[in-house]
Amino acid sequence: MWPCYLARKQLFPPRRFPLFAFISIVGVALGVTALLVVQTVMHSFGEEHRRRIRESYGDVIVHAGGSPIGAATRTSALLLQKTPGATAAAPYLEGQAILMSDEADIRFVGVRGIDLDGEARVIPLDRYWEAGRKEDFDDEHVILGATLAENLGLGLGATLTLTSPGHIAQAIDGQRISLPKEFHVSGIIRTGFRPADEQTILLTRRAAAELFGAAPDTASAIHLKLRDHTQAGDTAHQLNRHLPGNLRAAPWSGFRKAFLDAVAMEKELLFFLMFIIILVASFSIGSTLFNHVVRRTREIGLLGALGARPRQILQIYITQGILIGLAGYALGATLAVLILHFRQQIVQLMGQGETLLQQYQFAKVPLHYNTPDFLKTALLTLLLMTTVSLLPALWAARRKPSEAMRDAG
Amino acid sequence: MPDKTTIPATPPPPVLRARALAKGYNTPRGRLAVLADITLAIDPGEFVSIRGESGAGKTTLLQILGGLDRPDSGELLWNGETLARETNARLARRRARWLGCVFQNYHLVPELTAHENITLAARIVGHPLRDATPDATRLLATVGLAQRATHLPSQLSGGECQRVALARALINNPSLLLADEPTGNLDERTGASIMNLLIELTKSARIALILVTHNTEFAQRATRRFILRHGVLQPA
Ligand SMILES: Nc1ncnc2c1ncn2[C@@H]1O[C@H](COP(=O)(O)OP(=O)(O)OP(=O)(O)O)[C@@H](O)[C@H]1O
Ligand SMILES: [Mg+2]
Repeated sequence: MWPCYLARKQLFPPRRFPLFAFISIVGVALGVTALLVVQTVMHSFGEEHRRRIRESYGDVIVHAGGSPIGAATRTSALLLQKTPGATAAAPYLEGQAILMSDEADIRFVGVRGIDLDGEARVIPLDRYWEAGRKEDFDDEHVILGATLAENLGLGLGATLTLTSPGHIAQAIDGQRISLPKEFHVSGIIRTGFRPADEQTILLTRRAAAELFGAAPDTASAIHLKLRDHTQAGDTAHQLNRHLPGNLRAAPWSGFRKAFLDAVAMEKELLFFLMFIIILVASFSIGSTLFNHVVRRTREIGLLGALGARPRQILQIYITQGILIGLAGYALGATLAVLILHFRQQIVQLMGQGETLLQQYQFAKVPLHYNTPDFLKTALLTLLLMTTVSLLPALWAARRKPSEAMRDAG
Repeated sequence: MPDKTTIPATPPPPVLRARALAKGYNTPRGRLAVLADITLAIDPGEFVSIRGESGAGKTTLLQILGGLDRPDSGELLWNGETLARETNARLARRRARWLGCVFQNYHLVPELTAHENITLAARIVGHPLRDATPDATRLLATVGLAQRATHLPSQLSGGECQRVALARALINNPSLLLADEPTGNLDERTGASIMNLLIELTKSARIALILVTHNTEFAQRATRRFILRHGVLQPA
């Protein structure tokens, strides 16, 4: 096909630096890079948040609408057995407590009682382990989030005291007072997720029940890990049709939904803003392209004289737009992958590491590539470049050969 | 049944026939009539020369005869077929097969080599490159540029460029070649050699030639000679 051949030759003239092609391709590439980097970073943040949420809540949670679940060990085993696709299940007991230690002020904390072995199968505790030994964890010991431990000035083996608000209420009512209980720190975990690292206090479930004055072997909820977390919604839906009594199942995607929705919206909004910038850039590439075409008026006239049809002239310049789009996308995507690869260094260079940690609770910039983002951007680039080249191409195709050949250019 | 040889052979239609062609341009100072009444018939292989003062409308005339522009009125036939109802696209397609052009300033595609400029014309007609390649090589040798095949126009002299343009005009075996002051930009000696080449090649391939030139000597070699004056062709 000679129009494509000529398009290639005009874009990349032999034995000469292809200045026009270079400028246009770099222009497109920069836009593509910006879009892809922003989209990928936003997607990665979302993915990271989702993963963190899954990893701290489990894929599916079964609860009893706020009241405790009795015979939790047996219920948990039954759930694991009956839930299709479940690989682990663990009950936990949550509540508020008052923490006292020699090093820090009295403060309210959330406490979670767990069965360590079962819990470690639902939540990747082993991965988070920073100090201490799992074997030392028993009814007299606690596991602390790393930031909390730092803030309280508590290291391994340190002592702290926990009491529940219920105890204090009972004391005020003049009932029998159970003394605050002493615990020793036997482990420190770091999830990299700031709220978790700042707040986590893990006890055994038995110690927690005692602290809260709950019956033995009760749980606030039982959480499940699935082989495939994308099935969480379906699994929860199925469970809800079979679960007895007041038990309810909820998938991870429902936890902190408002927050996840906000993250998703932020991504959409950024895409839209970037798109407007890209649109502006496209116009300037369009005007460069127009210039490039107008300078060739006499050549266009000649092609007409040689018998080229208007449609073929149109093809030459649209092909150039598409070639610029393709090359620009390839370059832009490569650049984006490079930037994303060195994201950590770039964030450090900008001195934004601390902001990142504070605003997004990430110590490291996460990276999750999303193929649809890349496809969407590719499609958008080609569409824009075709549209932008259409105007100069139409202009060229409408030249009368007789007048074009007289052009002074 | 009469003997075949006794049938009077119907003469082939003229390559080109023009009847009462007129053409004007709109200018800020009103309508400028350039061609008033052009009537002309060119037989296959015929050589016609046209002279005229600058601004007389010679280029305009060639453009109309070659279908690069349309007349305001009058009729134009190529090989006996009228062009009035052809769309631009169909006209372009017919022009590619029927016509070759040589211009004063060569009009080579600057990004293509000499050889590629020639094959481009064949590819526009629809010939595959593999068929056009040997033809282009042969034509380059014919115009004396066998050693310049891979040169870009910027690496060729004016005379060499015009030889390439001549080879390009011939590659599709046109019925008619229009040459608009092909030596206007060249010195006398180079011009003369190009002119000779042009006349010889069209003659041997029996291609009709309409030559616009200021050079009386070459104009004299035409079978019929005209002067364009006041929008009409007058025999010289
Ligand atoms: N597109 C146009 N619009 C208006 N006037 C035009 C246009 N094209 C040509 N003309 C005018 O038509 C007249 C004939 O022009 P043309 O180029 O045909 O002359 P020519 O005989 O080829 O001259 P030369 O020998 O200098 O090449 C000139 O006066 C020119 O100014
Ligand atoms: Mg002229």
